Amino acid sequence: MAANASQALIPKARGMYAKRVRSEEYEELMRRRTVPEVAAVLKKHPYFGDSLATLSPQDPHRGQLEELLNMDIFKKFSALARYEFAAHSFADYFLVECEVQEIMRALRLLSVGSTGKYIRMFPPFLEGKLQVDLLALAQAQYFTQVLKVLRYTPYYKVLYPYYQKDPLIRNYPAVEALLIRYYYSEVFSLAKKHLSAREEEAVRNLFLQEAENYNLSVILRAKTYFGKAYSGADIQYLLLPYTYRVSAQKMDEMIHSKGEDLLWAFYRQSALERIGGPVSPDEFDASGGRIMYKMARRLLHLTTSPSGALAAFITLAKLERDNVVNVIEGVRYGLAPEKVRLLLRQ
Amino acid sequence: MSVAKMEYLNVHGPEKSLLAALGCIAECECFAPESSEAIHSAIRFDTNRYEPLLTKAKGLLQDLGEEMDEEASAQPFTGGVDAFELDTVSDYLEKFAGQVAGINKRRVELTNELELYVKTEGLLRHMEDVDINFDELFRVGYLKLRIGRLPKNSFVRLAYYNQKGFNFTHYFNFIVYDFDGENYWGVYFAPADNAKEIDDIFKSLYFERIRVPDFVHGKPMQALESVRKTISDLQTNLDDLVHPSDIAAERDMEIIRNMAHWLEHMDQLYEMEKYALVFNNTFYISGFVPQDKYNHFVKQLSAVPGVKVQESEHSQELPVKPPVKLKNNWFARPYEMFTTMYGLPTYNDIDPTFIVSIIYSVLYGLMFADLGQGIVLGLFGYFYMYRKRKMPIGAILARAGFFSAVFGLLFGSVFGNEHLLDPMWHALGLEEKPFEVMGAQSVNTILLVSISIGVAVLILAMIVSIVSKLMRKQLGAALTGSNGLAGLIFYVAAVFLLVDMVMLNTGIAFSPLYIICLLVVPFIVMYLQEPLSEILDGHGLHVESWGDLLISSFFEMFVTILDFLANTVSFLRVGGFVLAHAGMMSVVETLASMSSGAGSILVMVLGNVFVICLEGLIVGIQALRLNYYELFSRFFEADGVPFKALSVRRQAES
Repeated sequence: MAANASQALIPKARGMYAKRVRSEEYEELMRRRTVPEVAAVLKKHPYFGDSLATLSPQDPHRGQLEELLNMDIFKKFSALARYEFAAHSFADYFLVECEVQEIMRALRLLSVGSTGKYIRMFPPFLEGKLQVDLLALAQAQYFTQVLKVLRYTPYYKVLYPYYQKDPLIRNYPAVEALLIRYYYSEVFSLAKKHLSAREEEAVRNLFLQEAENYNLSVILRAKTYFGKAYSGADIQYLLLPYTYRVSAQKMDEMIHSKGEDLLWAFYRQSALERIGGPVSPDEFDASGGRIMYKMARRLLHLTTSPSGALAAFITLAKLERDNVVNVIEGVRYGLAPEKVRLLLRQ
Repeated sequence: MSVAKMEYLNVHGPEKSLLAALGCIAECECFAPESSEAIHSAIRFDTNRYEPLLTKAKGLLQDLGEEMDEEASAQPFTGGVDAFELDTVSDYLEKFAGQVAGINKRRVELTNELELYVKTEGLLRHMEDVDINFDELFRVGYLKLRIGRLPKNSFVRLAYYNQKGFNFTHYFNFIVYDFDGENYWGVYFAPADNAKEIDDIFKSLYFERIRVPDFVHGKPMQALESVRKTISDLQTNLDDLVHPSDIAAERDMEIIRNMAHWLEHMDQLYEMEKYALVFNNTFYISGFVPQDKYNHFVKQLSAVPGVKVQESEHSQELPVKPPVKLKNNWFARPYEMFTTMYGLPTYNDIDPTFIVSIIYSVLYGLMFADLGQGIVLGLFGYFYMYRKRKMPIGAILARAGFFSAVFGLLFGSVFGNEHLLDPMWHALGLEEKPFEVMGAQSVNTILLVSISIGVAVLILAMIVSIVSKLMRKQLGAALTGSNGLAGLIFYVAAVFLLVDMVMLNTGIAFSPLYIICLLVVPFIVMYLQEPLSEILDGHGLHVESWGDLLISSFFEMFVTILDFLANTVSFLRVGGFVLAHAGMMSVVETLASMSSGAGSILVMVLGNVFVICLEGLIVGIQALRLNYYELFSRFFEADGVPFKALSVRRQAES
């Protein structure tokens, strides 16, 4: 990022983060009895500005809420990215993330035969902002049509070899792994290309932790919910080729162990439990989120790099989104506040 | 410097006079009943009828446009327990509550109706320019009509359905008639056969359907006019509705207020009934009354028909520990706060409040010695904190400020100026002020005086400890303990030994007789405190293992000697703060001298404010700490039970 111009991004990001929903506000939201009550409070919260204005006050749908929260994150990203004057910068990583997310969403629906449903989910606020034509993606009913939409994008090269092996997307997790792998390789490549060595290190650590959380989550899910359906090699194929706190050898042991006990034993002995807190399998992602929250918050407060601040802020904003969704769903299904609290990423 | 003497009483009388007796007891505010654990409280089968009526009365007063006066209701009700009949009160309140409920019901109906019309107006405003007729639209049987709003995000998605040719299989058309920046207001028509699928599509697009009420007719413009007129009529009806506050005349309000106050009073008296034991239609209440209030209490209670007060025999062992009410003179009374923060003395023990008041005030004055700042602090504490804000610590600050001013006068310090009072000293025939804190020779003197104060305080603490133990009939501890006579002799002898060695050089303290009698013997007595105490207290000698005893006593003596030393040295902080205060003010003076005119005055004012705030707080904490750690720890066993008199007002506050 252009050094002088983008330095202003750091205080801007910190200022935006300062308006976040605080722990005590989450506590208050958790104690509300109905979803409209929670929605009414959130609609007035300064962190979201007018992003939630169209949220239905009577019965806010989860899909609509997530869409509006994603729109809010994108608005905040755009506001921060304005401080970047160069045509291409590290900030482009977030656009890649948006693209990958949308392609994955469209392919996931196709893989389960839900053609035509992507239109209800595609984010209109991204229309025209990405190199992927989302409306065209929505009209695709087969993998081949998706590839046609992606013909002149880097994703074609990523997906085409797989299409030749599995045109009906029978193994969707493998496609997802390909796309996520591409996303992280892009993140690290953009960081290397646009950032100084010091900036790159700070940003790289954040994304390495995120990738590692993803890997641990994949192993846990495969071991806990799919048992023998996934061999060690299958799991290995789904993982990202990065480690951060967990050594490659330890990761390998976990992949090839029987059951999830080794992973839990490692989790409890390592710093992960100290940072993420004790959790059950259902809350493992929340634990990863808490680790990310602490890391990103620290980075945002201490970094002198605009890219570091941007990456940290976007990470925190995504965790904030997850928290809001968890609280609303918790209230919707009458979960006790102490149970919802376990799902929060903070 | 004492604990108020208590009389133990039994009050009894016919059951029907119980409430009247409790009313009288509560009015006296000097009777502390036995704690509920100590009495065999009767199991009650009746329910509190006052409480629900009190809630109703409070609600009614609120509905009638008047909050219950908390201050007035906190005062005891003076009309007596027979001021009202419960049934009369219930009927009276019910009469007004019924009227208020009727008005409120009508208000809710009108408000709900108004809300519906306002919402409809909002809908119609978006359709103002649309040329359709609602009556004709709703008559169409084969088409379903849905009016509402579609978020702008979802509107984009409609294009997809057009491209998909959805119109050909499931015909629908979304007609937009307004856009408010976030939502597209519009209407869609769907064939009745496909309505469900099309509704699902719109639902997935977060379309919010708004139902058009039956009262909407004609074109939107006409309907809007009609709705607006109805809104205006409803508003008028609502405004014309009698306000609940108008249904009760001032005289009625006065009666309801009195009833509420009476109910509050009776509710609390009812709660107090738990202290009474009722047996054979007679009630019994036992408790304590301060001696000086005894006659007044008996006189007041004797006026209640059938009620008698019986004083227990003095020789008789009291069934419970008497509660403690501190009794101090005007100077020491505010310092009771410090004592009670630590705990209360037992009934037969010494109340240390007076000692605390003197030591605290003197230490504070010494550590914060400045005539001007002391006066400011004292005035602020008394007038603002104590008189205006009713903060008890304000009275302590006033006394501390006074002592600061006195020591400031002796040290000749006024707002940090060390020579402002020189003319006064000259006029008194002195060459200079009595004590120059910043003088070259002063540091040693200040530190020596600080240590001397420490020695004096510790000796005083040990003397009080001996007296206290004797009062509690702990002869062994009083004579052999480290805070008893042995400890006192040892400490005084050790201090004199040091003084003789450093200053007096008389050699008395080094004589074998002195050392053996005043140091060695007390040391051995303290060392063997445990068995000696048992013998002196008449329990006989019971030592399980002499080896264990000697070893544990060795460590105890080590700690005791260390404590004597540490507690004495602890008072060095007094001298430290005397010097620190003078040092800080000299910094302020130096800073002020670097400026001139108004700037200099401003620096002096701000500097003084800073020093008063910072040092005033720190010195206050340090003086309290010295009292708690060096004084209280030597003799104060804070296990007294506080005296809590029955009182309606207090219950209201709690």
